[in-house]
Amino acid sequence: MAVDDTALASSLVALLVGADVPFATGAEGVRARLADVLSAAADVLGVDGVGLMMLGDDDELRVVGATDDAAAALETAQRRSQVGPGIDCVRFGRTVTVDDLSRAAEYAVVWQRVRDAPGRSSGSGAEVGAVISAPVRIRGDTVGTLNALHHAPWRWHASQVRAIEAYAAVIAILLRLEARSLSDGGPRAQPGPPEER
Amino acid sequence: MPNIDPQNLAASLRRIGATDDDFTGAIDRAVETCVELFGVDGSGLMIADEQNTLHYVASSDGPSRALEEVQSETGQGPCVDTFVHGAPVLTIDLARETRWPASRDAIVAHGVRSVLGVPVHLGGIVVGSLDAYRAHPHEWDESEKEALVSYSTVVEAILRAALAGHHATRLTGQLQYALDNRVLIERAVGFVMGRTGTDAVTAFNTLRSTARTQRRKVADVAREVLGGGNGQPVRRD
Repeated sequence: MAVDDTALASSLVALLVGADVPFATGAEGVRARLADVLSAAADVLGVDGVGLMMLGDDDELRVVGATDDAAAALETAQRRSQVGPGIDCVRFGRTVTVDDLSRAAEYAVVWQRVRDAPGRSSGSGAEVGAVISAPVRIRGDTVGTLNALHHAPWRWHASQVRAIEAYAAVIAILLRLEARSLSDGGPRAQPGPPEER
Repeated sequence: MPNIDPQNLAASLRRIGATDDDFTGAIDRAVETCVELFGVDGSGLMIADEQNTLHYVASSDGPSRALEEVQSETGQGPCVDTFVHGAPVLTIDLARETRWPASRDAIVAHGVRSVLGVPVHLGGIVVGSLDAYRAHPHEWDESEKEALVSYSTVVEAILRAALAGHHATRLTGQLQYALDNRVLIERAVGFVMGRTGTDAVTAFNTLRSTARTQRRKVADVAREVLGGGNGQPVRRD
């Protein structure tokens, strides 16, 4: 499926229009906004799941969010094995596409882990057929990866590559503004790191 | 709704940290995204300064930067018209344009052939112009125009955030000046148009070149023009 450019553009714009809102709404705001980006990316790309992994201040990749069980299983499998399209995406700072994970020899360990992961809803293993991973870049530095998946093998379309890269750029902008407002202290009162609880 | 892990998000935000170039970086990224999103060859953002000259803030590549610099120098071009009229301006093939003789050849020589410019607003006031270009003649259709207008709201959100932060930079100074004085400048443009019978762009450039030549802020020139004409005469180019 090709991505509808008009839908993509209006979706990106809708996500960014209130990009200065973190100043007012704080940590809850940026979490809701990231959740919106993941949902919108899944809808507009027409994929089965989307997940986000970001490097922490210890340079470890962590799972920040996922839209469904399969995306969560994919992210967890990559993080545990330190192998996968998302790992390579961060390592090389470029978009990685995998049309059929079961046939990608270099990612066999990920596929195995995903297949063995307990599915919360179905009780069977998570289904991940095809994966695309785009870098989240800030100041030229890759700080995370946005992953999208299809349950079945899938030939990724150029417009889907473009779209996921655009969503990754939106995430970079949101996080950048939020990091800045945190370091400013912002107009809102911040008793301490807001997410530590 | 996807669940966002607060601890892991916090760790990421700590890693990203913040430096003074943040808004410039966010604008750079927004301009690059514009290129990816619309499949154009380049994109850039210009914001007006205290002498009413549009200045380069961000561009995705060399030709895009040249497009902006030539317009800053000459006061002519699609982005200048976008800014002055507060409406989208496009050209299908710059090489065949008659509208901007002072800037046309220099821009074409840098490999820019078709341009679409849309206004960038803050608080209902036009503060600059966002442009996209292609290296070949191109008939911009209505959907492309609408899409770029929509996308300009992304840039506006970042500019609003820049102003909301408390860091004085050249950019925030320009924005604040534009917000404070745009209405006054527009009134002066209207006044000059009425008095000299010129169009808006010419009147705009008259104010601009007067401010530049006399090394004054354009709002001061505008105030004087509106003050009854007993100050410095307004010169035409």
